[in-house]
Amino acid sequence: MRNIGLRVGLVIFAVLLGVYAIYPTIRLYTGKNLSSKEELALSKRSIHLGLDLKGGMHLVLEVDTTDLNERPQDLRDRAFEIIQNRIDEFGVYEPIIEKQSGGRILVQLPGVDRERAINLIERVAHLEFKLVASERLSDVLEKIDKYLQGEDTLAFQEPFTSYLIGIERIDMGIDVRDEDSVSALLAQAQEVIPEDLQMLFGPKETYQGREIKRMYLLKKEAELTGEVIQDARHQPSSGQDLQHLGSWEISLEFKREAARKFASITGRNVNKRLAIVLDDVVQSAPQIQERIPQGRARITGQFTAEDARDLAIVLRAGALPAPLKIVEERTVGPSLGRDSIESGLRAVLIAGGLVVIFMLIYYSLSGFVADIALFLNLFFLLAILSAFRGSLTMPGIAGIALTIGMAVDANVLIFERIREELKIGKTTRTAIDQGFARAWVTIFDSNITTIIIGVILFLFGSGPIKGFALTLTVGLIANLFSAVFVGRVIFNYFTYKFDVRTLKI
Amino acid sequence: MIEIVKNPDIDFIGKRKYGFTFSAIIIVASLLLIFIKGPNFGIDFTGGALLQIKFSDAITTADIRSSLAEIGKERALIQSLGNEKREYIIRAPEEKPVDFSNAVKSQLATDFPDNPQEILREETVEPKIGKELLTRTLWAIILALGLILIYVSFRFDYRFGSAAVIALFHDALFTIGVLILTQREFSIVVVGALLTVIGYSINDSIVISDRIREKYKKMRKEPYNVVLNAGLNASLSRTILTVGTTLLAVLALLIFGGSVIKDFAFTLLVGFIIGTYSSVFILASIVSVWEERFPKKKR
Repeated sequence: MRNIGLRVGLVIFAVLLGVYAIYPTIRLYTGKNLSSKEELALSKRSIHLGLDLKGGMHLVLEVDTTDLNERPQDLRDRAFEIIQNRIDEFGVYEPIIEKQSGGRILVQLPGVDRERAINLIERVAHLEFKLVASERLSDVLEKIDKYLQGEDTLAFQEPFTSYLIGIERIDMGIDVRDEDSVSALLAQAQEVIPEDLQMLFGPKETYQGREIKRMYLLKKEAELTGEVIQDARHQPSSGQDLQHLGSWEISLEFKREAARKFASITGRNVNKRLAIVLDDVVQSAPQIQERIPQGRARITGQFTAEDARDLAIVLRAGALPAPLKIVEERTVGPSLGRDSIESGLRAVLIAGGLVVIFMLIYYSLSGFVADIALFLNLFFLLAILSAFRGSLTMPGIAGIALTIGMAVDANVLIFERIREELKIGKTTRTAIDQGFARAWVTIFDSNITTIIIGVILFLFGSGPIKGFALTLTVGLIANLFSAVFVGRVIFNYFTYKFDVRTLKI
Repeated sequence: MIEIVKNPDIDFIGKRKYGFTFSAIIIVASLLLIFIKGPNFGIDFTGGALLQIKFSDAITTADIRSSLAEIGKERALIQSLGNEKREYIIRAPEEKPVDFSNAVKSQLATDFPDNPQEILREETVEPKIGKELLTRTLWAIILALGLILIYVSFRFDYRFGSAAVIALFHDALFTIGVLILTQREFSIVVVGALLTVIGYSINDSIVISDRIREKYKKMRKEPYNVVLNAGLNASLSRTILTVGTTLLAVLALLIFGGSVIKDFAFTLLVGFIIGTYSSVFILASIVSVWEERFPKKKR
């Protein structure tokens, strides 16, 4: 047989190459006690599990450009950088953050707490320091009441002030259940609230067994904004305030110039209250005791360590230039991911097992060759995925199962052809050669059309389809090699070596 | 040696009118379903929200529905997974999917405080994104079909090429019809499965056409229909074996593949069966009718 040595050598070389490519993947998923450095190095040369298998979130964000004059592209680019910083600092293992057309940002985070991650990404984090206009509160409230009474002649309408609850003598608050009606009334009475003032609420809190939000009358113009922040850190509550005992806070450090400005603001407004406003929610409004020269401030509140840490991260990374909207989300919890892997692997193993057994029964010893080819097909598929850091998703597993089904087609075509040749009285070797040669044309044709579909699905399809297209296409290409080339080498080698006269097929 | 069919000699072409009748019926039925009922597009394409929720204890669909009714969402689709009555998929096409998703979660948490829920999967797609995806998918399908047409037309003579394309539409329409009839959702994954069915259909047509062409070269003297039958019979055992092993794989996916893959595997199952049927009973029959009406000059 011509070149048999060369061809056997080529097959062995391909298998060795495959082993080399697939080794990091096997080590990564089965190795024990890997150091994180090792893990990182291995993961660079391994198959990745898709978010649907390991759990995680896939987000597409769009910059809300409704009331901004800037080019959406520029806004997106700035938002992109800030989100990247936030996620880097948050410390997610292998995040994917990409710009997409249409001013969109794609974020993929494996295995994170959904609420926290969304909060981290979506929060605008616009920080402002605003003076509380306590001295004008009663005046404004009176005006609002009078205005609402006048507008609605029904005398029994409750005045605005009846919604208010006094808190610790210094603050006003409302019951959370009244929030909608209070906001509606405020919007209605907008024109009597002086131009330079605004009403803002605090976060939800519990006061004497009720869920409330504090309400503040603030100067609209901010004294300082978040851009002046040099650094933000979370730390356990440091004040003497009993209310915040055991909770966490964020300490802020201003940039040099802002520190001077902060000193002069605090110096001018001793005994007044300065509200720290984050995304239009008043976090706290401490009284200024004295001029603060060091350029430091604290945001206190009912923060858990996690909240405080996340808030410090977003403050350090800076505010988003515009709000972001989640236009697409696909989140898979870790337990569903585990189930999917299990059911997917089970399906592939059962499909593979059934096919292997069937081929053995139907084609006896030749069926064994087909089974080797099938195994090699899967092996090369996984090796190629490893080498190119491909990712394996649930639809990808389906693609593998389908590859198993279709890979057998090549063997069936070949074997049926060999049988026919044998029937018309050809010798074993001629039958094998003719069978392979004839079947090759058909196998090539039929695989090409499916590969065309696979490539198009990969290029144009979105998320779930891509994974399927990838494994199916790579699987079919691997199949051309393993079923046709390797299969023939095995047949030739053994019929040559053992001088086989009657083929078991 | 085990053989599924021993030296088959079935007169497929002679019985072509049965095949044509059957195909006409299923295609008309599918077209009626497509135009009257229309496909039920999933949230991938319409925009909307999907929540897959696991409760700690068993709960009924009715309980969930009445809870959702309190926020005016009783029309959402509620689908039970598995036999334990603990896992459910709730989905609805919505203009504001994020709001819907949050509302449903907090409503269930409030109404069933003693039966804590775990969110297994959460998907929200804005209608705008869905529309874009639909457009993109349609282009992908058109491109795929176009490339296949080009390939087929340069690889085959125009009769087999056209017959293969007719078979392709036959298979795709029937599969879509069955999907509508069984009220399956057209998600992006199902569309992928449909394209795979198309690939498989072409694949089958190619194998059989190749065989017929080969027989044609050897049997110049024989009547054309005899040649067609010879080709079909020669490839019959391959056809059965391949569809058999492929369906084994697809059935394994359908039974063991979990909720995400079910619709996908079902589409493949239907498509592969009809694809095999059409390649045996329709493809060559079309060519035979063509030959009878417009005989080819001897090459």
